[in-house]
Amino acid sequence: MKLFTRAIASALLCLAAYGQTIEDGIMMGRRQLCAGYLYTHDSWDEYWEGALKRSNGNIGALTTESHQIFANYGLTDSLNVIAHIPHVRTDASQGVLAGMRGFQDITLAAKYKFFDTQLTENGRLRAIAVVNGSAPMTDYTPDFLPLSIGLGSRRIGGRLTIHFRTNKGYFLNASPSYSWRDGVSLDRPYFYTDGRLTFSDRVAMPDVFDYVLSGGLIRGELVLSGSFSQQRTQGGGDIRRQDMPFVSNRMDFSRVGGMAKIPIPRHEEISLVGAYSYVLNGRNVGQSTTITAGLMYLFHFPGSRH
Amino acid sequence: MKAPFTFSRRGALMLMASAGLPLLAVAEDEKAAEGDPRSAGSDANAGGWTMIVLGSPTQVPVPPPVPVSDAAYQAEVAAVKLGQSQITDAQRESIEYWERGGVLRWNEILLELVAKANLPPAPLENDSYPVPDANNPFADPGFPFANPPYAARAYAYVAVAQYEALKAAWHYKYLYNRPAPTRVDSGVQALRPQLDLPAYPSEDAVLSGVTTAMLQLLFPTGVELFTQRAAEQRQVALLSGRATASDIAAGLALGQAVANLVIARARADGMGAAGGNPAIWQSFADQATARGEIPWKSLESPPRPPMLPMFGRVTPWMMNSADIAAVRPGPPPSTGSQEMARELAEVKEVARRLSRKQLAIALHWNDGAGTPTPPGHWNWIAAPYIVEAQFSEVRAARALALLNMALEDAAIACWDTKFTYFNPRPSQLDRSIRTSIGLPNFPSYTSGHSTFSSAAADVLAYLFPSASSRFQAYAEEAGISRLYAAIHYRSDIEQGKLCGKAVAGYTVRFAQTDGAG
Repeated sequence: MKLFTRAIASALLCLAAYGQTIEDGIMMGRRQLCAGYLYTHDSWDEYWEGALKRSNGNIGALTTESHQIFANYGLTDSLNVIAHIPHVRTDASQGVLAGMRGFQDITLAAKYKFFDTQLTENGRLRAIAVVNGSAPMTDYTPDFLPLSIGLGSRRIGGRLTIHFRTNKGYFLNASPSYSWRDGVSLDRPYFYTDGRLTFSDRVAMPDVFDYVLSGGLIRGELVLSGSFSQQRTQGGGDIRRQDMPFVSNRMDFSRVGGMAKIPIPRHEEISLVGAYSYVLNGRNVGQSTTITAGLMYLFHFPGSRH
Repeated sequence: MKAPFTFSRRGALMLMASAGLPLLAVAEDEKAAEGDPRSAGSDANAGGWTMIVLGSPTQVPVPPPVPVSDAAYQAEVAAVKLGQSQITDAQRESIEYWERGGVLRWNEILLELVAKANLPPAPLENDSYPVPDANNPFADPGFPFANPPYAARAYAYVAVAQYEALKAAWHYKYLYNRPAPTRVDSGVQALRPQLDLPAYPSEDAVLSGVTTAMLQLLFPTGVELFTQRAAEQRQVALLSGRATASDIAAGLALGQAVANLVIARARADGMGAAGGNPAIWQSFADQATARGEIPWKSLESPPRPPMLPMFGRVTPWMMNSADIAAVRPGPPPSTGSQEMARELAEVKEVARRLSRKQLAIALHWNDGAGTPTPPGHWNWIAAPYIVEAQFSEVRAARALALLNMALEDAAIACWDTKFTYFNPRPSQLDRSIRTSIGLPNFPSYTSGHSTFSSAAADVLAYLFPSASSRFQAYAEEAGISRLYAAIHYRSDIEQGKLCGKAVAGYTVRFAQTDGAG
């Protein structure tokens, strides 16, 4: 079983595409590889300046497109390794600010199922620990938000996923996470944020807590699910009135979404993926609508049980 | 030799290195100060240096202090000793903080106040823009909008007021020659390096008084911050063994009185009319059209009135209005000319091929909204050189006054030029040109960064000659950064540099004969 993907806007107004593989309760079997391509289109025309929701005629609609390749490989039935490589492009529909493009942050993760038991006669409970890290692949600037392609910060995090699935394939999934982020370097010698002018080019980045709750159906290669997620940044300043966003802003949001992964009949190793999500509420982020479409392919290497 | 600043050379170099200047190596800085004016000691003659706003150093009277043998003074010394015996860790930290120098610390605080207030008003529902109101500074929009002209003027007024007040203080210090408490009573500890400087009136208290009065006018919403810092500075003067209560009281009163004289100039310098009005804004466009040119227009949405269009009429420091006209560059290439088409094509090509290194330069010198502005950037550049040279407080104030008077004069000359020609930005003539920083909301010709930076570089080169080539290289980079950002044509930059250089000449010629050189 594999991967389905939902995009998380972990950055303000810009999108870090992120595999839900990292958050879900699904494991690849030993010597199975799921690899594929995902296209994500994220757009907003209103954002939260601190707590104030507004539009901005000098931005119009901010669109972030991401092309991502990913792979998820089962070293064993209990240990998967995952990689994502996104290429991101931004554009503002109004104003004069130039869009940016480039390879963003590579994500690597190891996912370990440490608990798996038949909880009731109707369903199994499993628990999965994830260690994940990401790092910029290029020296794009994080100092041109909302048009920067990312936050330029190395990040390492831990995640615990609890997954309950009935024998018929209905599931509930809860996945909280905490991430630590390395500081980022700007190309300028000072910056004002969170009520202070700092005489340094080095910006400390607050930690991030997030969680995802999801539920749905897994049947063979078919996955249907709905989710609710929240991100709570553990510090950072607000965007001030009529200011530009800043890399270490406190970026919070609540989001709902749904996804479907549908295998192609008679070619079940190939699946189509579609996802949609919408930001309900936020702080220092755009009210994004995100659509993802992609293709994934399941390879069986010699020695896999399939 | 007494060292008013103990900030080490290494500290200064680290500060420089942390700038991360994209083009310029900092390694050679180790020898930067060779041959420059080193510590000018106590500058005992500073009371005789040329005044700028005051008629003379005695314009504000300071009564003679009681003799050190007086019982009242002895009680003050006892209070210092008592305070030292009960000193807290927080108070020791305060002493260490102010050790960098009062003028330099206030300059850092000022940079922060500018950055905090450097946000344009947000548009209203009806697409108009509210004007910040000095009588209601905590409203939305806050007062002030510390844009580059406002900031240039604020840096200048604070620096000049400090400089005037310290020259007056120096006059009275050497008139009355009251020693520091550490020299009167060996029981008073010297918790800061002691200066060979008479204590009455206290220079720390002068600075706290003059600066808070200026900041109350210029940045009223910062009152909590600067009032607290001023009280701390006076307490440090006392606890460190440099001054007694009467030294401090006299300094505070002198500082506040000098500030009032400088504020009188500020209230009459034309800043109140710098915003213009809709009829004036329209007249700039009409005049450009009448000359056959495409007039500048705001590319913001909704369109925003131009930034302080009448700032070119504000009273300069080292120049008069005829001088401002004399340094005004000739017209830019006509908007319909082949030459302008070539310049526009260059901007477009630079933007299209922008390298990461060029982007870094554009971002390094951006100094847009939420920053201390380009004049603030040049204050930041100057600070380590002042530390390095171990200037006395009054000489440090002179350095920042000269720098910031030149920067405000540069702002006035540049704004005069911008609103004489009202020339469109590249993105207005070719809407496909996208910028890699925010587009400033005022005419293109000439470049403010280029004018500011070449003026500042020449003043700093006068003050610190051995670092001259470094300052010039910074100015070059600041200028060309605006082409990289796709917000200026090359001729904006070239003409801005020439204008800035001419502006600096007025300041440098003043400095050469002000008695401090």
